[in-house]
Formats: sequence, structure tokens, C-alpha cells
Amino acid sequence: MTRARALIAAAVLTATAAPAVAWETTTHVGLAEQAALAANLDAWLRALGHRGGLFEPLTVPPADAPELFAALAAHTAIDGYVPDLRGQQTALAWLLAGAALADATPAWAANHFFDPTTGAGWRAPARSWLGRLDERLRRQGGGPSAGRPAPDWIVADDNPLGMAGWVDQYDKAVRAATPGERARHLAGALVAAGAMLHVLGDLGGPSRVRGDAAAHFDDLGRGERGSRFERLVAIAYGRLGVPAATDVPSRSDWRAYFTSDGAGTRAGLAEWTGRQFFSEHTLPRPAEVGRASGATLAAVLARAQVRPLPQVTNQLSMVVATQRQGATLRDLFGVCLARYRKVRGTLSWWLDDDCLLEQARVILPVVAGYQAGLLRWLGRGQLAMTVADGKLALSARGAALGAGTLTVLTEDGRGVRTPVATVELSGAADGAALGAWPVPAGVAAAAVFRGVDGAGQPVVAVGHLMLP
Amino acid sequence: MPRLLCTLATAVALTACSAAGPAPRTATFRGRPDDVVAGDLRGPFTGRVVDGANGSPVPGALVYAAWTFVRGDGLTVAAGAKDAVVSTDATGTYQIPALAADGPDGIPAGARLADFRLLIYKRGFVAYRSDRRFADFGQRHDFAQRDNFVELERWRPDHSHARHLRFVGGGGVIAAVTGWETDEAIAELGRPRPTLGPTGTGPYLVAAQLLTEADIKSRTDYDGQFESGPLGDEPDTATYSSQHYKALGRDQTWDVAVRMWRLAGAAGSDRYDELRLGLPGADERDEIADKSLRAIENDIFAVAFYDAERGLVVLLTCGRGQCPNLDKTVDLGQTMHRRIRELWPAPRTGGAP
Repeated sequence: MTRARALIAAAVLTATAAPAVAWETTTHVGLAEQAALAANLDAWLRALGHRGGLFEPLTVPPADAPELFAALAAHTAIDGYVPDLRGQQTALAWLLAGAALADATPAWAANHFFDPTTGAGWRAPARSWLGRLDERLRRQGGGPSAGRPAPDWIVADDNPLGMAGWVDQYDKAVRAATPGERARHLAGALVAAGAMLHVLGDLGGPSRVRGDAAAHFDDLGRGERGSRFERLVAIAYGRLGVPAATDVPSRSDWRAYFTSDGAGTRAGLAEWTGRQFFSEHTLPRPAEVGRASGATLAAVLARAQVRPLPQVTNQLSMVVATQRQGATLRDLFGVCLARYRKVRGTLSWWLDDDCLLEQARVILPVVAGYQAGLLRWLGRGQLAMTVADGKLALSARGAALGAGTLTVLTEDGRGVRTPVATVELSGAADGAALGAWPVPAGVAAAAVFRGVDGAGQPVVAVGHLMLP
Repeated sequence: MPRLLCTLATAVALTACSAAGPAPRTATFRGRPDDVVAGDLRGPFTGRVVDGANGSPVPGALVYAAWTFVRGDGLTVAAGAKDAVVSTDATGTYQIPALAADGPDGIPAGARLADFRLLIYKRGFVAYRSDRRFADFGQRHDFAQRDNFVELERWRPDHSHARHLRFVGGGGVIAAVTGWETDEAIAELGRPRPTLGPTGTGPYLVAAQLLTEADIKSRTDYDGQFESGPLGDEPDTATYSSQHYKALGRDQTWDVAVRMWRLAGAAGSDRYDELRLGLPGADERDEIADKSLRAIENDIFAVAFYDAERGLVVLLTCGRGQCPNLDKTVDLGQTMHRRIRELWPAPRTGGAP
């Protein structure tokens, strides 16, 4: 009895149920960096009139955003996204800051899960009274018991680093009067974009899209619990070692980057990951296979599947599986999906470090590609500006525009912008003329459209032109 | 009753353990270079930084150390960071004290020490990180907590400043020393990358390879120490490289400096002519390479020579304290040209294009 009570006491101190961050911060920052490179953020920023491109210094006075700076104070400068005391760092660094801050609080971190088969987000395992007592003992408060599905979080009203924040800040990054204000808003827009990349990138973690909360409570040693897969990836790749994107998918709807039907990378990232890989606790259950072979083996395994995908059929080798080291299940491209072993007629499964790292080598470039696609989507709105016959003419470029407001601004030698025209638009095809105005006085002209695109998706379209 | 007390005592003891704070993660680096056991994330950290081109110590390099913390069980969120900034001394040595166990300079209450990383930066060199290599951003395996040995690679014109800025990171301390690279990175992204050298042929040479501290001491009998590194006037480029041997504890008449230009075609000859016309009292002797001259300005002796076959122009200056006469300076110049021929033994036929 004494022993049992002691064990209970120990359990009180170890049992909690809270969501874990997905990729670790260094991985997220590395992914965002690769996404920025693949999306050619440098050219995008230069076209906006920021000639420094990725390395354009942008200042956010700390007094203007104390919460942002308080959150960044929890991070190290060595990873490249902590501004100096003036609040200045490069445009790229602000994007990375957003990627780092997306799970600054447990409540936000809980919103980075999405199971495409059920549409559900994070659901904490049921907490016993022991778990609740433990939280009180530790005074850590535990984590939220549920989270919103990741795609919903992107457009949630209470998400300061979501789509609404992006639209608002990006619009002001063109519209605001002074260069300082515009730089501050551009930094804000990049932080929001980085945070959205983070939420999307989380869906590259198999446990996040297969409802596998338990995978985030694996024993990592020294009393620490978390995701073994994500720890391994952080150690192996860090920030700088994250591989480049191999492919940048294109979508007309931001949500489709997160979740959509389709084969391969035509699917949403959640579907791609969930169909492709097992997670630690969604491997097939140990199954009695006896001397089964061929069709009978497939039927046995089908019953052992915790989740319907990835498919495991009779491509298993029961001969090799009886060897001590077991055998490896690989996908069509030779990537390790799981190890398996048959002992006394029972087939069991596991994921070792080497297998997980093989998966990471495949997953990371795909995740960076999806993120680059989302980044391009965010910046898809462009306004072509030309001067001819004393007129400044504007047309839509890159995307059809729906209803919204178009503002034309002039910029003087000090960089101060003043609106010269504002019109309400009901829509325009990609390439269609939006209007022409007398060339304003000043050294440059800028234009911004805020509304929806032809598909009803939020868009901020921008243009910048040095005047003759 | 005793059993209940025992249970409660166990719970209290475990609570006390929990209150002491989570154990630090296991370091991914070794305690010493020849150790097989993991180091201690808390430190202290010691090491020595040398110039990879000639093995001489690199004094005055920025050494930025950063500890990071996480908080939570399962839920691991960033819980703060601490840093320490030191610089290498005259022997290239750095020492970073151990992280305090607690208090304002220590591990935040309830947080777990998650990581330690080190950055070493000196203008003119590729930065060093304890976790990653610059060349391929691959994982570094040779960092050690104590007696770490760092060979800084000289900056080459084919290196990318944009990549280098990503490598070194950010923050006020780092930005203060890397600010000059930002303009280079911005310009670089808008134009093609330079090739290895202006001619695109021959080995890559930097000024530091032409003369060692031992070369100087053996000819001048100087028994003191040098601080060596690139001159502060302008950074190494595709066509220019420099090395400054600053005598420790002595005035500048004990210093030696090497400037080397690698210029294709007539540009090399033009550069040499500029030196000939610009150096005070230039006296053409042609005693080194194809053309050479001697010059004197106050307490500084100068020797310049032009190797037309290799497209190299070299200017050596030596203070009167170090080089008591011009002949010593010429001797050093001849040593440098011999070194050039060793490093680049087969000149292109027809000279530099």
C-alpha cells in the first residue's frame, strides 16, 4: 500500500496534459528563412520601394510595441531575429521573429493542430484529478484543454498575428505617411506573415495532423517530456541546416495550403503529411500474424491500423521481420516509414531515430515549399503603374481584383506620402486597367488596393513607381 | 498513519525536487576536444582563436555566448535567454564564465537550460559558430566546452555577405559589428557573385599567407608578440588583401603591414605605377620580382614589388623600430616573393590577362 501511494505521489508530479510546440523554434525560424528565399521575398520588397530587400533595416520603436518586445526578450539574438535596442533589424529578421513568436503562449500553441480526417484541433488527453492537482502543485497552470483547428486560427478574431493583422499592417506599410511609419507597419506585416508560416509549418508534423497528442509527451530524458521527432530535427538541422524548399505549390485560396483534397503536394499540407507518415502513437497496433502471408496478412494489418493511412499492405517481409534488428517499411521513394519486427508470431512497430531523420529530410523541404507558396499568396496582389501622356495609369497584375478601395499616393523628396485619389472598385480582371490620373507632383507614386480578389479572398495589392 | 506520513513525505520530497528547477538538457558538444563525454551547458567555456591562414592568434575578436531556456512539461515555450560578450586577448584566448545557478544572471526560476551557442566574429574573417559550419551550414562536431580551438578562415571575395549575415544572427551586439556587411549583402543580392579572383585562374592568395610572424622575428630579432589581422582601412575584396602585424606594447614604428593587390592586365602595372609616383622618395631598384621600389616616410620603410606574371602588386611597410634599415625591409619583401612562388609555382603563360 505504501508503495502504491508513493507511486501515486510520483505520478502527481509528472502527469500533465498540455499541448507541445511542434517544430522547435530554431526549426521554425529556419523554415521561414527558406520560405522567404524560395518565395523571393527580396524581389518583392524591392518592388515595394524597399531597396534593401531582405536586408532592409526596419525599426519598430520598443515603446510602440512593448508586448512584442517583451515576447522577443525570451529569445536569443544568435538566431537572427531579435532587434537591437532601437528596435531595428532587417526585414528578413522580422519575418523570422513572427515565426518564433507564433507560439509565444500556450493558448496560441494549442491552435497549431489540425486533423483533416475529423476537422478537429488540439484535444488534450483527459486529465485526472491527479493531473489537475499536479498543475496546482507546480503552479504552472498546465495548458489549455483544447485548441482551435489551425486553419480557423489563421482568421480568428483574437489572433493578433493572423490574416487580419497581415492585411491591416501590409496596407499601412504602403499607405502610412512617413517612411518611419511605413517601416514599422511593414515589420508588423512580416511578423504576422511569419506567424502564419509557423502555423502552416506545424502541419508538417505527423503527430499534429494525426490526432497524436501523446507523441508530445515522450520522455526526452532528464525529466523532460516533448516530441522526440521534433527534438531530433532541432538537433540535426538547427536553424541554418533546414534544407531549401524543393517545390512551391500554388493555390488560389490560402486555406488550401493548410487543407485540401488532392494527390501528393496538390493536397493541403495536413493531408500530405497525414497520409504520408505515421506518428509515434499512430503506428499499427501489435498484431498476431502467426504464419500469415499475402492476402491474409493484409487483412490482419488492416485491423491493426490505428488510422487508415498510410497504407500498409503485404509488402512486408515476414522473413526479415523475424531477424533481431527487424525490417523497414519504406514508401515508394525509399523513405523509412516505420520499423517492424515479428516475435513469437506478433508483429510490432516502432520509429527509431534514423527512421525519423529520414522522414525529416523529406518533410522539411516540402513544408518550406508550402510556406513559400503561402508567402507568395500573401504578396500576390500587385498594381502595375506606368506614366504616359501625362497620366499615371494603374492596372491589376498577378491577380484579379474584387471589391475594394484603391488609393493612389504621391511621395515627396522626404518620403512623405499623401493620398491624391481614392476610388471604390467593384472588380477587375488580372491585367485590366483600374484608371488613370494626372501625374502627381513628387519623386514617386504608390498605390494600394485593399479588398478581396476575384475569388473573394482577402488581398492587399500594391504598386510603387519612381516618377520621371 | 506512518504509511500516510511516508506517502506525504515522498510527495513533499518530489515536490522539492521539482521546485529546484528542471535539469539542464544534455549538451551536444564535448567537455574538451579529446573527451568523449558531453560538456556542461552552463560552462565555463574557454578556447583559442587563430588565423587559419598562418596560425597566428586573432586578438580582439568578438566572442558572443548565448544560453537559451525553455519552460514547461510537454509544452516547451521559450523562457528567456542570457548572453555574455567577451573578446579574445593578445594570444587569441577567450574565457566565458559559467552561468550562475540562479539569480538575475542565472537560470530563470522554473526554466530548463536548453542550449548554449557561441559566435566568434572578426572583420576580415568568416565567423565561427559552435553549432554550425559556414561552408555548408552543416552541424559542427568539433566544438568543445574547454580548450576549444578555432581556426578562423580568411574572408574571400567569393563568399556571400548575405549568407554570412544569416549565419551570424542578429541583436544589438552582433549588429554593431556586422552593420557594414548589410550594405554589401544588399548590393550582392542585386548583382552576380564575383569569381574567385579577377583572373579566374591561379590559387587564391591572401596577404596573411605571404609573411609569418616567424619570418619577421628571424630577420629583425624582435622577441615580442604581435597582434595580427587585416588592416582596418578597407576589407578584403576580390582584388585586395591586407595583414597587419601590430607589435604588442610598442609604438607603431614596431609594426609591419602587408597590402596585396591582385589585378588583371594593365591594372596591375597601373597600380604599381601609382605606388611609384605616390610613395615619398620612391627609388626604383627592381630587386624583387619584375619591378620593385624602396621608399621612406619618416620612421616607416616601404618596399613595393610587381609580379607581372601573376598580376600581383605587394606593398610592405615596416617601422624603423622593427626594421632598423631598408635592407631588412627588402629582405622581408624577398621572403614574401619566395612565398608567392611556393604557393603559386606555375605562373600562367603570357601574364595576367
